[in-house]
Amino acid sequence: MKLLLIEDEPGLYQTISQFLITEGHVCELATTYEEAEEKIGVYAYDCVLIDIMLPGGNGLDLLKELKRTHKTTGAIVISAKDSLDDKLKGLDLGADDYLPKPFHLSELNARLRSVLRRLKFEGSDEMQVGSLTIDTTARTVFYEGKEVILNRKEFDLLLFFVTNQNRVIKKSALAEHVWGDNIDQADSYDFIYSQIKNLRKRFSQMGYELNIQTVYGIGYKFSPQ
Amino acid sequence: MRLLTRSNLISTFVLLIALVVSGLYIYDQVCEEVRDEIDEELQNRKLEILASLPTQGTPENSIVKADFRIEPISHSDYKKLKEHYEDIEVYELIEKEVEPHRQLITKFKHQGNYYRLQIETSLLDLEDMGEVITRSTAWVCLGLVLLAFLVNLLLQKRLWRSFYQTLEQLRNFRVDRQDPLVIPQSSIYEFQELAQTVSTLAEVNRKSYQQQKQFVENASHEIQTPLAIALNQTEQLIQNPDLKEEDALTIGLLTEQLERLSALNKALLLITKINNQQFGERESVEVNPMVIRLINECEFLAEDKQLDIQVKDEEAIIVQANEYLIEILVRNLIRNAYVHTPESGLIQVRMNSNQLEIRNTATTIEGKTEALFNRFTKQSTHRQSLGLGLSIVKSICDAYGYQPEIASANEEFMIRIQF
Repeated sequence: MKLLLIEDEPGLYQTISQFLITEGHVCELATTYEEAEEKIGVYAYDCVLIDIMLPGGNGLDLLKELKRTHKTTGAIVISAKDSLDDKLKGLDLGADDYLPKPFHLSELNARLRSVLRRLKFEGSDEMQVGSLTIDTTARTVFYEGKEVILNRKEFDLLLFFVTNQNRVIKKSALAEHVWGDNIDQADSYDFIYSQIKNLRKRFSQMGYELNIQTVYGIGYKFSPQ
Repeated sequence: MRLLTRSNLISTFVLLIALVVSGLYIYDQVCEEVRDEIDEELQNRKLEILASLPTQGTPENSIVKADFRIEPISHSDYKKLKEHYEDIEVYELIEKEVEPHRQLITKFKHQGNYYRLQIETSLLDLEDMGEVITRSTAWVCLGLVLLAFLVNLLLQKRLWRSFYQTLEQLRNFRVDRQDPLVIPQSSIYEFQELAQTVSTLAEVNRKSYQQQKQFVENASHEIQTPLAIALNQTEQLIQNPDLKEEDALTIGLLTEQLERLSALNKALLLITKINNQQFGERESVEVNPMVIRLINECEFLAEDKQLDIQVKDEEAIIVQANEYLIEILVRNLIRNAYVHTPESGLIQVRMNSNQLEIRNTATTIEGKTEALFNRFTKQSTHRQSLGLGLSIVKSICDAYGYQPEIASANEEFMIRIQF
């Protein structure tokens, strides 16, 4: 996918763009308002990641411009201002998602994939992961033609692992993804362990071994077989 | 009591006293004058009587009741007697009541004999006059007081109008809104000063509020960005397949601390924003469906810990508040219950008459439970807990004037919010 990252912090854009490239995207970069304005005007992107506070202007104005000229381009607003105003304004202006800083790269990946899926850049709703068939719209999973019954949270968790396959996902990233936004609930990572145990059980009952490994107690890694 | 009412009452009271005192004074002065007049008349009468004494024989009292009496007295009595006036009461046959009289008691020597002369006259005139004076003074008093009261009421109301308008404006003043403060013009110097001061104050407040808001947001931005960079770097670091376990654990610890810092920053920022009342917009929020939704969100936790959840949705709770804040409030309470309830514990949620009550099984907390509302007070031994959850709850309650209540007894923790 062709992406544009609009971000002025070198420390951030280096990591993010490097990450997006390893995920197989083409990632262009704009570090100022003018540069971003120019790139949006000239090229077409599948999805644009917009930081709100930029040298030379407000990212929300870029979003407005983008949605005016390229309706089908996905847009994710990333902001250090975790303010509700900005979030609502961003979504109002047509942003597909809003991600407050700091965020986990795995979370960014999940949101990005979800936006791309919704905008159908990635073809059908169905994806093949190893011997599993996952329908993201119907939220169903099939193994060898048989449906694996999962509840809402379990499906979310599986999808998160699938989107970030072969990557080590931090426990906190998993917790936040399942928990939603979390303030002062960092003590509740324990439930992740049992959630994953449950998820594994659902698949082992169907005769499939879900390959999720713990990595030194700091995270989990899913590798499809 | 309103200022106008009070000043009106005081001035009326003072006026009343002044009028009564002056009335009494006038009465007293008039009385004295009249008494002097009467005394003078009595003296004249004495001269008249003495002049009409018969040149021969003894003076006689007339048979008919007269205004004077003559009594012969001894020489020693004559010497002792001094001329003086007396107030007496005399029974009047016609009026059939006792009336005040004044009498002059004096003496004279007539043809070698000594006499005592007693002349009296009615004081009725004086009494009548007193009555007239009292009555008229009372009427004048009443009239003046009434007039003063009305004048005060109307005049003061007019004079103070701009003050009350200013007050009304101030009452509706919101530091987080841009509506201008319209202070009415007044020709009175003090009110002009007041208007000027109030306008300046309001403007200064609004500016400093804006600056504070800006600062809080910028501070958050400045702190979150380096945190975001550091966290992303650690996330990339752990992707290295050749990572040694030792290093991985160090990175894990590092990540944990960075995340904690980030959560702290967010929570403190939120509390600051709430305390600064930066969540202005109020709307009608239905609490019951929100509670049910948030309970469902935590369902997986209940499954994990095999918790028993009982919800009593008795009455609808509808509050006028910012929906986002109410959600944070409810979420904090519910998550608190889920996180702190031990395995196979019981959580009871009850909603009735503007009251949300959550009870859960928990080890009894010793000491003051109210302290849990303070920042960084922790009961749980969870290492990562920030101890800010209930502080956020308290801030939101304070912002809207809700009454939160905590109790802990018999292996049960209870928190109740009175909306």
